[in-house]
Amino acid sequence: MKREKLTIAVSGLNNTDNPGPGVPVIRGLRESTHFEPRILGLAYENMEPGAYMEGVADKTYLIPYPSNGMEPLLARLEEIHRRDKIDVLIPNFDSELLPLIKAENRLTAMGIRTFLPTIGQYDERLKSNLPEFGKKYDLSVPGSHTVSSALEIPGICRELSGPWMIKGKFYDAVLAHNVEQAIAAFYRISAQWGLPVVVQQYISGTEVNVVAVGDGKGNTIGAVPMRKMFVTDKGKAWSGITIADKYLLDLTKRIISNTFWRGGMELEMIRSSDNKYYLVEINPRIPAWVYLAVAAGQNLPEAIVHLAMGMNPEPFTAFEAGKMFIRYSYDMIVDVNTHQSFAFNGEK
Amino acid sequence: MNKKLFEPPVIKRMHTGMPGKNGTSGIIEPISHIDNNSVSTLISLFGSPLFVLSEKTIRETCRKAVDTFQSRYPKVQFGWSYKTNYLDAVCQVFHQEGSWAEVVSGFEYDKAIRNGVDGREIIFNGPDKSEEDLIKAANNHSYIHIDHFDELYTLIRLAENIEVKPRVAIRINMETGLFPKWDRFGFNYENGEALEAVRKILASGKLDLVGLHTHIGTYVTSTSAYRIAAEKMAAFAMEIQGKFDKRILYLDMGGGFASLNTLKGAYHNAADTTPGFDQYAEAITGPLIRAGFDPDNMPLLILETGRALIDDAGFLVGTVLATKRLADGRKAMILDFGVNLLFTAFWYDHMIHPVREMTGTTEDAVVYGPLCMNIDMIRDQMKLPLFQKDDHVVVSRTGAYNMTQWLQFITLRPNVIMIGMDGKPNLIRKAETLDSLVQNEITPDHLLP
Amino acid sequence: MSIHIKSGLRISDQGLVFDPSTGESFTLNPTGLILLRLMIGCNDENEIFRILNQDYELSRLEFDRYLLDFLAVLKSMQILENEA
Repeated sequence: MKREKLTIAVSGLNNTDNPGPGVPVIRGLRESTHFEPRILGLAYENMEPGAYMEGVADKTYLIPYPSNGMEPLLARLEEIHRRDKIDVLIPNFDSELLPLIKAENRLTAMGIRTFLPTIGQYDERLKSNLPEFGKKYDLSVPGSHTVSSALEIPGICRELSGPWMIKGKFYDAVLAHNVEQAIAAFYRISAQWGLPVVVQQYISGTEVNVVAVGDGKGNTIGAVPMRKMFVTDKGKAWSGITIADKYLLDLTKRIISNTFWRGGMELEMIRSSDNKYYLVEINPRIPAWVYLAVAAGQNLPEAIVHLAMGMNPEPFTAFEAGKMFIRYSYDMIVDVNTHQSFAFNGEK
Repeated sequence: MNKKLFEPPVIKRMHTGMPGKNGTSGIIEPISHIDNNSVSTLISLFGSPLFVLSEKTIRETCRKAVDTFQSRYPKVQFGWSYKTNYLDAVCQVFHQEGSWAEVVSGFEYDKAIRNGVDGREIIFNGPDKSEEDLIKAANNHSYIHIDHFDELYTLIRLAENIEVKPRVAIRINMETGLFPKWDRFGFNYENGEALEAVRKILASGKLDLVGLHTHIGTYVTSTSAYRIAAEKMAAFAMEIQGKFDKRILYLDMGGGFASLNTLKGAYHNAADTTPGFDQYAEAITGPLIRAGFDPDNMPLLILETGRALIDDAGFLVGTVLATKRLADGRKAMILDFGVNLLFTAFWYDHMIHPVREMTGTTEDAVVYGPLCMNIDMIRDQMKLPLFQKDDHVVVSRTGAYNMTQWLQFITLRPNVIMIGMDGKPNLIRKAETLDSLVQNEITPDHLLP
Repeated sequence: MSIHIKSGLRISDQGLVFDPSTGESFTLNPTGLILLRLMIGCNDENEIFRILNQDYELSRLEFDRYLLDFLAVLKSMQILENEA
């Protein structure tokens, strides 16, 4: 069967020691059995590794950070789209999600399809709203408080037993074992990511994550749970293994069916020593370890493209438990001219 | 042969991110005209720096806000927040558009009366009202919004000797999920203080409790905070009706709507995060409609939004005094206005537009004002087009707070003009002169020259 | 300030500059590119002005002002060599 040709733009090519999901998403797309993708990489920085890796993007464009305003970003996407028609856009960069969700109608009008959560879904699962989210959907969540001043921290640390995770509004998390560390982390995170900052009780146990895709009508198109086997000093998974955890799968399906989740998501859970599950965070996008799900039998990036194209993909019903990923780093050799020209011309 | 123009030569360290060459970042749109008046002509007529207000923008913004609320709720009244911009001409535009006056001091109260506002259409807020102010406001049938128990008892005492029964509301502070909490103003809802204040007012028999007032914060981009506030205000009004059989005639939801200026330190551009009037209106009117008020006697909804109604209508126009190179190699630009006129530069990253077309080349620069004082900085870092001495600049969105918080420090305050509906500029506040400044000074005889 | 541009800079026609001794990359606007190339070939500012003035609308005063500023930046970027 001849596969349909689709041009898919993918951001998050920052395959660093704290990787964005762009490169693994692209690997999934390249393995599609239904379509033949032409991949446009979208990079915010001229040194994002994905822009230089062989066989990843067919072409990469630099785009302006969302913090410069939505208009420049949309104008740039429109310009790229005029030259290189984009069928589907899969954004993977945390801070671009909200502006792109808001711009969905404008993107659709241009002819660029996306499949993203709604603003309501995005807001509801914000770290600062997690306690209410837990209450509403009957999920256990760690105790947490939203703070805008370091003065509030000592009181919170008395109320919630430590240690604590100090988390940024969009991104970043630091473990603090005492009040002084918590205050230092507050200052560091608020300087970079703004206010408010979330102080969350740290639950010790096993970190288990689920990557999943919802169709927006309450159905789960796919879901693969993974236990982190090794984490970096930044708390990112360096290796992990797929697990056939029925409870986690049921919970994922329940969350998706209750919230009518639309698009990719990552559930970050802790399984405590007494076998209780705590929801720590919901990321409104597919995670960087998504290729593990692809390898285990669920090509979720491909499913997202299908959903964006308005098709109704069959839900995945199985995956192989016991598949592992081990991340590695690798030094590419790049000529300065290649880098300069990418930085200067905004494409390569 | 025509010679080519020579743009100032620039070399930059290669940036990560987008180079301006692609035309999608770095280029700041020039503002050559304001309501069809050439900026350069305005400067030649009225001098530099110069505040320019657009009557058209004020009216359009005001109508849009009023329509947005009125289409969702049957009884809506706006009160122009004097402190945001109390130039007479500005206030009159709002009064013509049907706004009452919302004042927070005796001075502002007198200004509203002087502007011909009926005392029945003045809302008197704030923690600082003298006994004289209170008596005057009571006699004029103005709405006095009580801020604290000291004021409440003062007013009960004064009411003994006032012919009319003062019409009052209490200001309420509450938990809405916003930080910082504005618990310094008014009576707290959650701990029962507000209910206690109501009880005292009704028990005194001296005051006519007509409304409830809250004002949850400033530059609030969270519409859910307004939803929570509206829910609590409505619930409180129902509670008062149930407990004391006292109908609350109005709910004043205050102001605090954000404008499109980007706050310093904000990650996203304000244009992407600031809700529109419709979103604020939805959040506020929804809970009031669902609260269960008698449909024939819905309380009046009062709004005191200031910033969002006037910010876009104001422009600060000025001139580049010099560009220079700092010791560390960074570029610096000095303008003929600084934080003395653009007070909001302390919390906004104001956009500085060129007047003429510029090339896309930019340099990272610091923008200073003219004051001989280190803190006079308008932007600590900005990608600046290649301005040269004597170029004109326009700072957009300066209508709120600047013309009230400006400082007469080191230099004098300039002309303010308003471009009328006919497109013609009107001088609405003359530049200060040495005379206007020293007229209140008194030099003792032995110090005279 | 005397004009001694560091030798060995790699300059592309697009206005990209690579300094192999520091590994730094720079970009020039078109007039910056012209001026830097002139400065590499010639360290006499009168001569540089004479050449530029053939093609550009540029007063001597403007030139001096621009040159002063440009040299200050080049110095901060260690492209301008101190006199030995």
